[in-house]
Amino acid sequence: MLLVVTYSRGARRDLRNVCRAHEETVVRRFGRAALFAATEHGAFLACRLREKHPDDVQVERTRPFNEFTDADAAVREAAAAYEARDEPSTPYRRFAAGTDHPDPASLKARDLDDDR
Amino acid sequence: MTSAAPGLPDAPDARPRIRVRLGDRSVRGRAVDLAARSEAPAIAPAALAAAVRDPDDERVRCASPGPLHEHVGLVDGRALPRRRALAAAARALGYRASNRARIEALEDRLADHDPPAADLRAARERVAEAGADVDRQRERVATYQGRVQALREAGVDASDAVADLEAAASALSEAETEHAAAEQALARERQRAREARDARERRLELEDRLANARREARAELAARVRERVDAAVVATPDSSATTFDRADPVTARLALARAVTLDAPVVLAARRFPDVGAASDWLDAPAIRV
Repeated sequence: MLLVVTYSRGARRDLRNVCRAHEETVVRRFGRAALFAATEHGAFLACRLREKHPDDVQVERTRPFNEFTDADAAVREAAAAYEARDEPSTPYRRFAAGTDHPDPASLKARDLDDDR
Repeated sequence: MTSAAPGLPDAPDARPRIRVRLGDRSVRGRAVDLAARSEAPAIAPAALAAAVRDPDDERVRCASPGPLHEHVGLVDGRALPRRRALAAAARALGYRASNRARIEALEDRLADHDPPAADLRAARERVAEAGADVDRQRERVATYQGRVQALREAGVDASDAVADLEAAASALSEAETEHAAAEQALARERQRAREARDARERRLELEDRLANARREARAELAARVRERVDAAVVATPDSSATTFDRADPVTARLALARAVTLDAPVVLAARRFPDVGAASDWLDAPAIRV
């Protein structure tokens, strides 16, 4: 999908108009952002907005996140375990220390593989 | 007007007058009826109202119009932004919104706010071109590799083809270097754009706050004059409405123009008065009937 974020009143207004006129291509609307379908029509609408407001429109390509295919089991398990922690004020760093869970630095150092 | 003292000549009418010149005909006065002048060249009412507002337009000479003129300068049936028009009338009467200082402060902050550019088009295009070039060079290398192999298998001298292959391999290596550099430049630009977008986001917040403050100001100003304008609505000829909000656009415009003293002429495209003089008297403003 295409994530379109606007940074000015004019760009926000035009995004709103585009969303109103092309419901079939707009997957989701947020305040000043929207998700367009990953079709050429979605790209066409995004390009039009970008053409009109080059500095005030950000377009990113996104795809659904599946934690079972996109992230290692270790990451998933660490998240589940941390959310089930006994002491809510424990920061993750301390929580992970001395366990098999990855520490924050190694989580940050590893990219998600796009072709996973 | 009060009559002059006996024995003295009548005081000249000091109220603003206008001069309208269309083609080679020129008309002066306080109330000008273009509709009755068959020899006057036709001019669209909107163009005439625009000429009133344009100090450089020689077709109409008159006092300079205030901001309310934009809403009431042409009396016709177009939709009217009611709240804005009421606020403009209030300003023309000298009212000022209580949050004016805040609006000015926000305007100053916004004027100082100049976020840097955030357009990555050039960087994206460079990456795309460099990537396409790498693909092209790879294909060339593959082609020459195939040719060298075929020549060798045929037992023919392949030295020219080998030289071509080496040149192609070197071009591919250059293309790959350029592609990597373009990717890095794009990554740097993205980082920079992120900061620029943060600045734009703050500007957007400022703009929203300013718009809200201006809306509040309009609401407050409109409330100050609503009663006065409602009274003018009731007094407007051919009007059955009792409030500004329910009045038709022609009535609403006439009522606003009557509630405020206008020096610049009102262009009348609607017929509510027996003649332009009566309209001008009722409005207490110069008037042009088209």
